[in-house]
Amino acid sequence: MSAPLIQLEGITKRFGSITALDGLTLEVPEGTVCGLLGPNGSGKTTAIRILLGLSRATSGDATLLGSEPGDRDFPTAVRQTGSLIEGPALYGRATARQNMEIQAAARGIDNAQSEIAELLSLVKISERADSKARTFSLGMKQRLGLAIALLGGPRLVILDEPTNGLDPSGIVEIRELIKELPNRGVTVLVSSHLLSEVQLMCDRATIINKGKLIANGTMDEILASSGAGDGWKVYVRISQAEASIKSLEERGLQVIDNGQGSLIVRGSIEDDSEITRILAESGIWLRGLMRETPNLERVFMSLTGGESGDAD
Amino acid sequence: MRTEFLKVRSLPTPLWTGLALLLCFVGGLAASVIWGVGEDNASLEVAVNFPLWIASMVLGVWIAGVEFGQNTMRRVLAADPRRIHLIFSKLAVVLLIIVAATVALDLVGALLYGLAGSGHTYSIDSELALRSGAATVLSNLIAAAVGMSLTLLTRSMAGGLTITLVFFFVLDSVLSLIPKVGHYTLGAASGDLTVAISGSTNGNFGEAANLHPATAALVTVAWIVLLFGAGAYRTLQTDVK
Repeated sequence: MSAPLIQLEGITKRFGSITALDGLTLEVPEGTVCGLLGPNGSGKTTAIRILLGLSRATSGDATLLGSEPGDRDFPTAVRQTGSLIEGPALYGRATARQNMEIQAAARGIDNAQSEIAELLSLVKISERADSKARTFSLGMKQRLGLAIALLGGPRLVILDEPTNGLDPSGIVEIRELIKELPNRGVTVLVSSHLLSEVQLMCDRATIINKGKLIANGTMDEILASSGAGDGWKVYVRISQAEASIKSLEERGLQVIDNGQGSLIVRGSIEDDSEITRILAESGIWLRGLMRETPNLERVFMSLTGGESGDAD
Repeated sequence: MRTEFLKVRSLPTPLWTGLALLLCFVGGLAASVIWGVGEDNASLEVAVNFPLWIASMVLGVWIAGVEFGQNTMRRVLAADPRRIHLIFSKLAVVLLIIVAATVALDLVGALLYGLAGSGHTYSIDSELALRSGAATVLSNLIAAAVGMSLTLLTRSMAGGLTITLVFFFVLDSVLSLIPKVGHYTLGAASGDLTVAISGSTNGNFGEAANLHPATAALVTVAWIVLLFGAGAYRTLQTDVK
């Protein structure tokens, strides 16, 4: 197996008395789409900045495509990495095409015109290629930022909130585009506050909180780790909800009342017939019963202590 | 350097600065037709050299400040993280543009203003125009380097422009009033240098001629190295947001 394209080992970053990253360790293997999740201020963007050499770690090692900031090969590693960090950072008074030309020149790409046209078409802003970037909506700026990140066929793409400002159809398009990138030989690290999007587009996820790693692995491993998906969704008459909760809890099961007669039941349950039997014995008839779908949002909330579902 | 030239070509500030210079040039040409070129190539000094000095300051500030004003520094460094390379590319591009613009406008100005002012009392003194042009190139390079350095130091377009103007028009002038020490300010030393080159008693930094040209050159270089070094050091050391 090849070496991970991104490796952070014991990274600590302090801003005065504030510790933004506290011994963070993470790896992104080649050929994957890896999600980076965490509540606001958890240190995701700081970690990305350290990786790209924009910020210095107080201690620890950050390796990007095998090079550390300060290494002779580090500029080459950065040039092979496309990035979109905290918004697209465009020259507002230059056109979309000019913005891409400037970035292509900065990355040492010659004769980029055909690639620029292709990428503008890929992110569906060809028609506005010669409009000034400051006239773009946030969604269009994000698309342009994504096109810039893909310039030069990078080995690795780091995207911070790539779907920010996009409409629902735009989110789907960008999600599909990101999912497709490993087929082009591109590894992706994506940070997003849209947990459902991360679940849909990523093979792996890393969850950090208060600068510390709290979960890391394949999406299945993470979903399984919190027990999400082990429960059952139970629907009863609203008038019978209280009695249902009492009956189920008496049998040692954990019940979450979602209101309107909707309950989540967890615990040692062999199959759905057990819930049916318990409630029937109490004279309660089920209106519906289904297996709880594994949900990254629930994992995220349980792992971060429910501090915020809005990861930055 | 190609990246920086692309920015100069694509973004409006250099274009507007160029247009402003052109407007001043045309104004000087009109004045030369009406009133002549004046004593000691006055129209060339006022309509070409002084605007070029201001424009150099503006471009020096802009070439560094554009990344802070547009918040694009992170994208620039995420494409090529070599910060020292970035700083020197910017410096080289702005200095090249300023030399080219100063030489071109001074040469064309001397020729056209001379023709336009013919028939009036004073005509263009070619030797003075040449020497004055060389002195202007130097003072413009200093203005651009200082503007860029102070912008790198403040990490802000507006901050850079403000502090550059304060530096040249207030701080330097005030410091130059201090007996003896005042001769070693950037304005005084570079003024001595431009006087030595142009042979005129009036430099862009005011009346001068207190230091030997070699000493003035050393003091000027020391100031530039100090300011540019401070700006570069801050750029190298500071985290990019």
